[in-house]
Amino acid sequence: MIYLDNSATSYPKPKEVYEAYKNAIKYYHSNPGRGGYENSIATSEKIYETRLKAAAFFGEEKEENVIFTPSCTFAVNMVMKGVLNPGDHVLISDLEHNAVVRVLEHLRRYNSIKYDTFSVDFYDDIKTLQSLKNAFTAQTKLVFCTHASNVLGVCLPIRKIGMLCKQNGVILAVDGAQSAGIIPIHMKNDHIDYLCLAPHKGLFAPMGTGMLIGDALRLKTVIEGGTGSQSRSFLQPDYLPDKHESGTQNTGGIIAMSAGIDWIQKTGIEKIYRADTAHIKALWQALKDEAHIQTYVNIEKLHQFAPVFSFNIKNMPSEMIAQMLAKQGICVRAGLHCAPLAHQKIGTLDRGTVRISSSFFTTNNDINYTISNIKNLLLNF
Amino acid sequence: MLAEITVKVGSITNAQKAKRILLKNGYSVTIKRAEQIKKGDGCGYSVVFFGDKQNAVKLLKKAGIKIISVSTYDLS
Repeated sequence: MIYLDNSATSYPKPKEVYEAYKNAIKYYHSNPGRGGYENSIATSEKIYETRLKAAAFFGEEKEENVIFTPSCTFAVNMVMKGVLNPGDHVLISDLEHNAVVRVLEHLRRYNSIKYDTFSVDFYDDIKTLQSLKNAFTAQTKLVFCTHASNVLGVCLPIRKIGMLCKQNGVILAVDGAQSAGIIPIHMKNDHIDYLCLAPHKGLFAPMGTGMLIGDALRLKTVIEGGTGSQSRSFLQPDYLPDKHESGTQNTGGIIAMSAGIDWIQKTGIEKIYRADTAHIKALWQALKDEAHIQTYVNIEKLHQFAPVFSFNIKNMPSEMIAQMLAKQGICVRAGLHCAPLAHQKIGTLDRGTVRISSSFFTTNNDINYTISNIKNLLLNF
Repeated sequence: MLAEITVKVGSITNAQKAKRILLKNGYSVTIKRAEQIKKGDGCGYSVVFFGDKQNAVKLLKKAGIKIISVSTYDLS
């Protein structure tokens, strides 16, 4: 099997992650933050270590500002529903995932929130920033944007967007699902208020892990419940992370995430980025000039991108192409990738695209085999 | 007087943060489940140590750790 669907979730994981996950289930088996006996405290210590590592990795000064969630989507919901009040205005990019769009649409219908999109220019950050600037209104409270498109790999200039938001007194929340662990993100230097993450992708954690980083004390809660603290009170604790971490945590996933972060730091994020994007460059180089292949981004003109390559073949449905590749043992994703806005922008809303997303563990042979199989499909025309 | 100081800080995360701060400042610290749920706000965690109580509390407050209660147990 050749796995090229790392934008959905990464596979394989580093062996250290498997080991940590196995050990977590076996040796750190007690509920953290609940008991006073040795194993519960030891398990809590492992969770806390991950919190410290994640904070340091993303340039967050306070470890309690790292909130573990079940998914990135959950973290997005926490920000939107925690920050916004009726009458507030939100700006999102025209590449956003449904994790963002659907939450906002719900809030628009039921909570009188207004939102608009700003246009991302793939090759010109100044144009992107101008579009954002032009869209600000007096009611704009939040800018929510992806760091890297899950359809196209295109990166948004988050540091510059952060500066613009800061100048305008607007909160910036970033969806780092596709970039974290591949492209450096720094809460302070990038002026990010809230960072929503999918650690099961670039951080190599298991699925069922998510993370919100930022000062979540000022967010209203999305869920309430038991925290193992302040339990005489019927009210949710007013300190972090307890305010937002009700219920039992995904201990195994969090401990495995810690091993994933260690592995990235040991390997080097720049090395990971170079390896990941080299595969996408190779695909693009091999396919861009083929007569019946449509690509949507000129990778050579991008100064930074996430390892994602979208394409189509003539008039074939994208799902059919993916099925044909699957028969050759190649795992890719087709369709809209839960991001209709991005497809609207590139004119593929009715057919989607075939998406190839590589990882550090993808080999040159994997890519060459994939290129060869795609070229074989072209022989039908 | 040989006294064991117990500072109740609420959550396990607060206790872990408090432990690291006190360790850095030369205290020997353990984390314990809070014993007295009738006092304060119910279940939670405490850091337990020997030494200068006032300095320890000052260090924890400076780090923004919410202190729920401080108790001293005379072992002498």
